[in-house]
Amino acid sequence: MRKFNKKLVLSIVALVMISTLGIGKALGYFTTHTNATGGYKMDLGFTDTKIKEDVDKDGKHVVITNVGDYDCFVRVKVFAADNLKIRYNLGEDWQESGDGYIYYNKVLSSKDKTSELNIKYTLPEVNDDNKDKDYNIVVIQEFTPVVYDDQGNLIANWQQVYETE
Amino acid sequence: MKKVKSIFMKPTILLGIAAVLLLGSGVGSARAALTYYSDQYSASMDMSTIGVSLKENGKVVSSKTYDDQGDATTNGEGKLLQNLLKDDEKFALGKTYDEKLAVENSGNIDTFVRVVLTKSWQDKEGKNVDLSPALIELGFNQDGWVINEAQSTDERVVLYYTKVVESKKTTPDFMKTIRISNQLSTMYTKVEDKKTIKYQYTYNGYTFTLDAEVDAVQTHNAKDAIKSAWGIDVNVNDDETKLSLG
Repeated sequence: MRKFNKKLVLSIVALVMISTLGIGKALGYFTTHTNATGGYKMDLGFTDTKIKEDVDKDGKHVVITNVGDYDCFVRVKVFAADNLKIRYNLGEDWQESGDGYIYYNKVLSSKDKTSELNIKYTLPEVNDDNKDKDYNIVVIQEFTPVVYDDQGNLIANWQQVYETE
Repeated sequence: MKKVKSIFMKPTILLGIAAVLLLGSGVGSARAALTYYSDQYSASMDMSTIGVSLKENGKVVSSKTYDDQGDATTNGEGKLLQNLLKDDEKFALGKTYDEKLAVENSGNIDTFVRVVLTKSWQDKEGKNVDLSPALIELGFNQDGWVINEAQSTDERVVLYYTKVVESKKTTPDFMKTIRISNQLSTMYTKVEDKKTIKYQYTYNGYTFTLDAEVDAVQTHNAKDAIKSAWGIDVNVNDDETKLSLG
């Protein structure tokens, strides 16, 4: 009985060895492969902007500084009493728009400041009613991050506006 | 007749014959690609080597080339996207970055090649996350390359070069650009702390990863070789210079 088992086992081993002959041929094609992997860790963030407003006889002088680490676009809106006559000295970089905002038409890079926006005003004639009245000109500034559209063009998405206090 | 039968019944002899056959089979498999051809052809194929290299922006980043002894030589660091941004450039969502990838035949026999690209996201800790790989947008080139849509998903793209790549020649770029969708710019949280308002992008610090695997196979008996190596049925023209997907 024991002898029979040995024969059987050896025969099976022999058959298995022979049966693997076919596999060798199937793998005989010339093939090769190589691969590479890599990633990029995204540094995404919101910047912060600070507004500087000086007032003198020529009006209000507004300069916005990007104090954060990321580029952005900025715009301002000016609020003033109806009887104050306001006009702007925009320079080359600021642009008035029909939506009531004044846009800085360049990317404001990290740590850069805008050129000056000069808001000039003319006070109403002084009379008994308004001789002690104070007039305020309030400037609101907003920014939006720099992103690229589907065609790869730089865009300011003003649907996505951020304010920092 | 009886004597012959008894010899084969002896397992030790059978085992011996099996061993001899197996030894012989090694030679057979090494030359398997040549068995369809004449002796003369076989002799010239004796020195045949296959090799493939992946090039990123013109530089080999990874390669595997066999010598005539059957030993493989690998080259390149196997890394992609190491120089995505120029010096002092800041990463921006939606911006299209150059990422030109091509395949070079670094062996001495003609080959057909394919590329399997896999996209994935990792969080700040480096763990894979379930953020859509479709947000990683790759710009492909159709110059001789074809995407097998049946094998491709949002995560994986499989491209086949439809022509033979001759020894030492490089294919046209199969990929030109990489871009992260600007949809991510709309995903942020607002954090208010007394008088301070801060915004934080949800996916700041996440990593996008690209893996490229390049496969090459001999052009001789290409249809069977491709079926065997890549597990896919392709059509190959009679002179084995072009392939198309079924």
